[in-house]
Amino acid sequence: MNPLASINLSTDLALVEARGKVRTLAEDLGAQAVAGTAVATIVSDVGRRAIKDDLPVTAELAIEAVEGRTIMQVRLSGVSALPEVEGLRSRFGIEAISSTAVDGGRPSVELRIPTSTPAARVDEAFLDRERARLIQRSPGQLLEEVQRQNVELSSLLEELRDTKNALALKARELETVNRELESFSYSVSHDLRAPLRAVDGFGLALLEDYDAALDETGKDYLRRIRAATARMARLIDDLLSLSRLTRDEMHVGRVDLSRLAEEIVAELREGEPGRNVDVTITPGLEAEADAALTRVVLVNLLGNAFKFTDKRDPARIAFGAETVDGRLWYCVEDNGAGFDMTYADKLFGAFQRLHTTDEFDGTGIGLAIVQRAIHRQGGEVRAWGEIGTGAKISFCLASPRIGG
Amino acid sequence: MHMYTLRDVLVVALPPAVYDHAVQDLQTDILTQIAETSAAVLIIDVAPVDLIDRFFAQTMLDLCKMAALLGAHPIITGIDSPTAAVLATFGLDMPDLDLVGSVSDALAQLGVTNTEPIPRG
Ligand SMILES: Nc1ncnc2c1ncn2[C@@H]1O[C@H](COP(=O)(O)OP(=O)(O)OP(=O)(O)O)[C@@H](O)[C@H]1O
Ligand SMILES: [Mg+2]
Repeated sequence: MNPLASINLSTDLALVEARGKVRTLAEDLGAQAVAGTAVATIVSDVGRRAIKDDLPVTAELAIEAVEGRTIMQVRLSGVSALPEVEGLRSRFGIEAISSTAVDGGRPSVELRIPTSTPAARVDEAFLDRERARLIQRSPGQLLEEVQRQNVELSSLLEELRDTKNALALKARELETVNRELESFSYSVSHDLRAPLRAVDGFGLALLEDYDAALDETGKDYLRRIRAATARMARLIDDLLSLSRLTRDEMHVGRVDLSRLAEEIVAELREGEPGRNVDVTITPGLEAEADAALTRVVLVNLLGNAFKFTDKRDPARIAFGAETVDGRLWYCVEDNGAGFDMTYADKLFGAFQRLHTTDEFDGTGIGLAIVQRAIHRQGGEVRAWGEIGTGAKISFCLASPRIGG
Repeated sequence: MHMYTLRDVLVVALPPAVYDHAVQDLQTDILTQIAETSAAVLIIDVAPVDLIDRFFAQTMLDLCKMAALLGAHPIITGIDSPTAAVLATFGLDMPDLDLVGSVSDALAQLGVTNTEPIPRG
């Protein structure tokens, strides 16, 4: 037997090499796929045993011509018997021939696998080609490359997993911080009310019970103290409503924005019956939104429009919609005091105002609430203004693709 | 070896060659992961493995039994037909075992989409 390949089954790597070569040769010679796999499985199991028991076992691969057909041979030297395997001959047509040790040599088992290659095709050139094929399959060329790529891949995967975990962690942290902040501002607002009530109460008591003891200046100071506490109480209320806005659950449904605007405008008109306000509302504007949040948005925007037009006669206010970049934007527009566009993005911060309380009353929480209510629904809000001309606040509700 | 979780499914992709000495670690790693994620299904993908000999097949069968004890239904994917035929002929049947063509087939059967891994922890 002049072997095409010979492998000492002494390491895990050699085992992988041997079963790879067995399969390659079986395939090249046109043996049945099951036969190739069966022999590779036997070689592998025998090899594992040999490594475990530290016994020298060699696998040799060769070809023999028998009656015009090519037989593939796999000789396992150092092995006296195969492990219990059934069906080797009946199912796969593989013959196993054991030879006992001769002349101090080693015992061996030879596996003979029938193939579909005619013996005539097997010449020196064929054998050389096959030898080269089998050398190519040695661990140096193939396995190490595969293993190197595997190491690279698994370190990449490791990195990816780390990043994913870090992100998930950050998200959870953020969520916690957010919740803490929420409950912090809620309890702060609650706890601030008690001392404030005391200040206001004692101020009132002083005014009522010590009327005679105080001169006009003293009484004026007291009234200012009470006005300031009233203002602070309002600030706290506003803070509370801002934090409530993100805590309450959302219920998304069909909301008739035009009708909502009509209702709010009617309320606003009732509050200021003497004013001459021209309101235009585009009918039939609807959206998938949370009704309560949307009401908050419109109350604040229309409220602002009413407030900042109080020196106009007639004041003009419009509620409508326009499509920009494929998204439907709702807008509230007025011809009021306007504001300096340089500070446009500041307006949405809590307690940020571009007008003094002398000019226009307010705490500066309205647009902060508007922004939160819109962001919570996945929307966006923008402000446009010009001093002395008016303002326009636009918002959209859903993500870009869904539109209005 | 590469493991990931999709909802309550733990997917394990085995490396091309699994050596004897690494087998125990492999089993331990997988079982620990099942316990940690309380996975309801374990998918072991053997497609990358160069050859599944009897020893390796036995190891996988043992692993599946242990996974089942931990409450994870085992599924093995990626066994080609010659391998299945050889193992069966050599007396290694996998009676109660789910053998499915590929991981995506298995996930599809379970109604889990492979596109969106859901982080767990
Ligand atoms: N329609 C508008 N025209 C001109 N300026 C506006 C308009 N809307 C908002 N602003 C400017 O943005 C600031 C912030 O508005 P925001 O609604 O948050 O507060 P506010 O109306 O002053 O007080 P609050 O709404 O809390 O009563 C206002 O003080 C004002 O300077
Ligand atoms: Mg306002």
